[in-house]
Amino acid sequence: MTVEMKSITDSIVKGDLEEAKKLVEQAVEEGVSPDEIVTQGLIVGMETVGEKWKCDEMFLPEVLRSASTMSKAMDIVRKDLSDTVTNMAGTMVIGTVEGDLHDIGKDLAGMIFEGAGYKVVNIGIDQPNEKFVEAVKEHKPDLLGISALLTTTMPRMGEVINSLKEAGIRDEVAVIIGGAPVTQEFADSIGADIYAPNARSGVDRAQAYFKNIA
Amino acid sequence: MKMNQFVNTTPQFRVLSDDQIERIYFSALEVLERVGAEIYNEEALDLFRASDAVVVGDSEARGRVRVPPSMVEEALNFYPSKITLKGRNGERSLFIQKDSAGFGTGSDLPFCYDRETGERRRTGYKDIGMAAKLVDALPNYDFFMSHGIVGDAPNPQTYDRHQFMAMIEQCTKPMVLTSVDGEGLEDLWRMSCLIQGGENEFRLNPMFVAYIEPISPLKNDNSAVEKLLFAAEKGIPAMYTPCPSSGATAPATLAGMLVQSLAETLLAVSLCHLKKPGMPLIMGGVTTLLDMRKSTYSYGAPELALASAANTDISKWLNLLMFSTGGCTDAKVVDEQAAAEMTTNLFYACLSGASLIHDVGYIDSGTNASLESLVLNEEIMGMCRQFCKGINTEEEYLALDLINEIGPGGEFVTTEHTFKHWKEWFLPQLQDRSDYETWVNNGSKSMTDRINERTQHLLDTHEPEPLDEDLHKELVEIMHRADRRHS
Amino acid sequence: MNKTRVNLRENRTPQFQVFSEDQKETIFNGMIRTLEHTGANVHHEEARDLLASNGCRIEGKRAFIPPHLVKKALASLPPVTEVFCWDGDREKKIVIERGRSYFGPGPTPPNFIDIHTLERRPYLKEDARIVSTVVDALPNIDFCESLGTVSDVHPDLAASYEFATMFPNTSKPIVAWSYGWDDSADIHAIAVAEAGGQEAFEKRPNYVHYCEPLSPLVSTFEAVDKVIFAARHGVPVVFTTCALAGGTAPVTAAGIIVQTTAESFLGLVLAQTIRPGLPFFMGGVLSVMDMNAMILTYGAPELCLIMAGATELAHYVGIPLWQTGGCTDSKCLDEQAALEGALSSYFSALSGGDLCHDVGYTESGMTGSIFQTVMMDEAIGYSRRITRGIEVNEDTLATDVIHNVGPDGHYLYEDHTMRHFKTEFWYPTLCDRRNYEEWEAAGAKPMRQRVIDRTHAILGSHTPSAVRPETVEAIRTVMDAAEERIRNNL
Repeated sequence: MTVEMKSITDSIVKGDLEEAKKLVEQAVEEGVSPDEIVTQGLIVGMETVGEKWKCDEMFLPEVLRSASTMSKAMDIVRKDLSDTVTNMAGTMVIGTVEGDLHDIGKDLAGMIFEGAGYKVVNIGIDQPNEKFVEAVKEHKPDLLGISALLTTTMPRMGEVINSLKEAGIRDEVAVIIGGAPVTQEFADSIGADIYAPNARSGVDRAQAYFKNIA
Repeated sequence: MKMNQFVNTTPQFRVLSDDQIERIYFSALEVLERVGAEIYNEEALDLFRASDAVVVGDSEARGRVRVPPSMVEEALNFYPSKITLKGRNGERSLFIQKDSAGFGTGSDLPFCYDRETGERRRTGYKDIGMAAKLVDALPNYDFFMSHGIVGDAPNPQTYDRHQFMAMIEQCTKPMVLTSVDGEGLEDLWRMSCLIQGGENEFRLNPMFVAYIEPISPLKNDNSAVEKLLFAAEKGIPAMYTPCPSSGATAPATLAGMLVQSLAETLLAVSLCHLKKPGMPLIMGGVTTLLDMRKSTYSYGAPELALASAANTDISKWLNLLMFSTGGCTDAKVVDEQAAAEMTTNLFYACLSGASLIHDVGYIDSGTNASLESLVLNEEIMGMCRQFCKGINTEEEYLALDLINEIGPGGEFVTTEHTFKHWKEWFLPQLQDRSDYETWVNNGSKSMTDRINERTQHLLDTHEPEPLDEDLHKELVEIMHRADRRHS
Repeated sequence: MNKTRVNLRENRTPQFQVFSEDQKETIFNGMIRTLEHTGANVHHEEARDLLASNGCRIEGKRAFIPPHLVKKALASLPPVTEVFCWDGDREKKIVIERGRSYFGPGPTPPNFIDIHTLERRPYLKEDARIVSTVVDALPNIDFCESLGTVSDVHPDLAASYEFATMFPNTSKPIVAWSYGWDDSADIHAIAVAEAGGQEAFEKRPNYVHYCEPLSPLVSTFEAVDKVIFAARHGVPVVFTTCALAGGTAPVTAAGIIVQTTAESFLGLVLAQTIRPGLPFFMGGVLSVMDMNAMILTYGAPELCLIMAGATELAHYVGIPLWQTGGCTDSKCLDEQAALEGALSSYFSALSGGDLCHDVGYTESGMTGSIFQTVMMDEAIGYSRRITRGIEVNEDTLATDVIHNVGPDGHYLYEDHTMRHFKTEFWYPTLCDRRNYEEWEAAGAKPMRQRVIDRTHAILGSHTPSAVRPETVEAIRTVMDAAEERIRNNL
């Protein structure tokens, strides 16, 4: 029995990880290209989820379950993807700045980017500037997400960007920032590339950014 | 006069029974002993290491602390059930005790709508001054929290001192203050001691309560803990206020959220006892949900009102003072949603018997410092205070003889009884009760219009008592010294 | 694991009281005394004769009711009453039982807010169709009233036309208002046709009859005639006044409750004498008289307090309460309308005031607004989440979940969250919780605009159930006969 892309999509919408993994593996065995599995199956699934979320048909816990399913199912074929597909959604490193222990905003953003196909490396809370630089060097992400929730720790976002400059790797990664007290003006003032008012719009704005520079 | 009469002098409201509270309490103790909490502060870890608590982790600056129930129960015996604040107006005016709400604003709001352009922009020093002036003028507000943030402070590391200056210049009432860290709190305390007349006078007549917040779930970062310990040492009233969101940073059931929030509170209860038994600690919370459709932390949800009231029930059972939340909304502007949400959560917070109710005037889920919202809430608080007076059923109020005297078809307008008692009702300042023609002749003003007018009028005419010049100089000096230390 | 618990007592819902038991007794005794020594003027000869033959002292028009008759009347009241939706919808039926609260609009304002122009203008027959259609669709509105007095028909037939227009457009029970016997009979004929006959109607009544005597202590001819009609035809009946504290009743809350309860009880005794067991409501619109504007205030906090007190008294003696809420003194759809309406709705829900009417009243009862009703539907939904209370059990206490998540974790992925987030939280329809950028991008609409939009959306999409063909025929017959009656009277 051949695996239909629609059944993969449905398993993402339902957030059924077992089903999704099984179908992806089966599809691989049948010779379906990883590119097709990802673009016609998994990503279509998350787009459907995104639409339903916009219309209040799906709720956040359900969306996150789908995102997690999508990410883990994608892990099966990630290494075999062509460059084109990999560039659609690459790697993201995300962390909270030093002195700030707030977790939830960053975690939420990370999960939603996973749902968009990114491989997300979450370096955690209270991270000194050097840790961000190290992580960028190690994982070579396309996107670096920096989170801060307090006005006292916001300036550190600028410091991280400066540290990247000093290490000579600023141009190798796009920086996206968000958090309740952050605004477009602040993002511009510290030289961030993308500003996300909330986790949902972050993905859209990142896609738009990458499209523009392509 | 009848014998053996038991009356409700005021309305009675309660969410949880004693047994339900006890279950939540036992569960919180279970969590504290089984899971514990993360603490990121050396002194606190040392204090716990020297006690019956178990500290896991080799790091000096971070550890998981698990606390046995006996430590908590001993600590609970020592906290005061009453604290009185005195503002710079010299009045011991805020009596913090159960079943007698003190209302006040909230702090650190990043945005507002510009009064000239209508644009949404960041708040700054001047905005806090305007909010302070309004709170100083409006009688139903008992305390002031900044209702804005000094976004234009020279250095974010010392913004709290500037914020305090902005507040104290225009408001003479007691306050609740946020601070950057222990050092910030110390400066605020020094400044207040100058106002109160020394450290001892501050202890007996504190001018402010320190607002301190853990991070849910179960995390206590260094600056929060050092503030708490400093407050304990100097006898500064302090509230340790979890702000969990059910479904995200707390369990997705209200009972579960209350368990976790209480565990976080009891951690502070144990810690403060180790540092200084009997320090003036206040429990509190902004217990609400993460809206699962919009991913926002909701200030208008009924669950906020309900959980805050239940949390207040718990506080009274534990004999701890309660810092509750009300008068707030998710609406982006002061509109009908704002009015309905603020009215409800304010009434429930008051009826539940909280000692302090904050965030009165918060709009846009606690991001916007609207001045009109402060004025609208003044009216709502008035209605609330009226409602809490209850119904008097003494003979004079039962009026049986009067009913008999007036009889069928009579009228009561011209009676002595009416003349004597009608002023006991609520006299609205903003609500319009005129007939249609009169209303049209007066300009067909909506409530929004009346609120806007009154807000502008108060801003134009109210003059808070100014700070003594020398005192002002000394306060500014402390603030500048802090700036220099951090430049 | 020793999880067997004993001696557990819970607040299944929040607890709210204005009065203690002693206070309720004091007020009740005061009311009994008033009926016995002060009595009321009954402007209806047949009623006076009935009362006299059952043990009341009559002096001229004044009737004095002895305590034992009051007790007898109370003893014959049913503990539970059901009022049914005529389409048989079991979920929407009304069960009158202490602690349950239901909401609906009110009758008679002369004006209405035009749903398209937003102008205030005289109420028309078409508005009755609009109101009943919207009421039928709103999830938190349980019964229907017109929000107006039809002005584009013969004045004597306003009530008959109103009912005839509303009835086919909503299966939710209507609380019907009428002038006197004749139009009460018109209304009853329509309701009975749908029920399938008088006997069927008495088993499953589908409407409630509203009578309004006058304060202080005046039982007008029309009000008494109508309560007799209701008793004779087995229609659940409301017999309550609209009293002004400081005007037509004592200025104090306790005093107005005593007097208005006595006014209702006059009707209670009469109704139970004619038909023991007839479902009966006391209550009314009890508020303060604003001493500047000289009106009955629909938005005062005292309204909420007095109505809550009256509810407790009523339940103390075993009688359901006709509550008032969701209403405002405001002349427009604004913050005053929202806060006043929300406040009275909440306290009606909290005190369990059986049928709460006037949801949609504005301008102190002079103008009906279906927008107000739609806005209050949201407020009632909100308050129903609160009156549900907090469930405390092993699952909701979630200590294992807290352990699994621990510090540094979050709950968004937990099974526990998936199981609970849909039922534990209330999701608003009109209240906006988006962040600022999203709200602005969607048009920066204030609540009032969303209310108006929702009202239009409902009217554009909602289809009520269909009445039986016999009912359509009955409506035509009844209204033709009513018009004939008017022509003959001229």
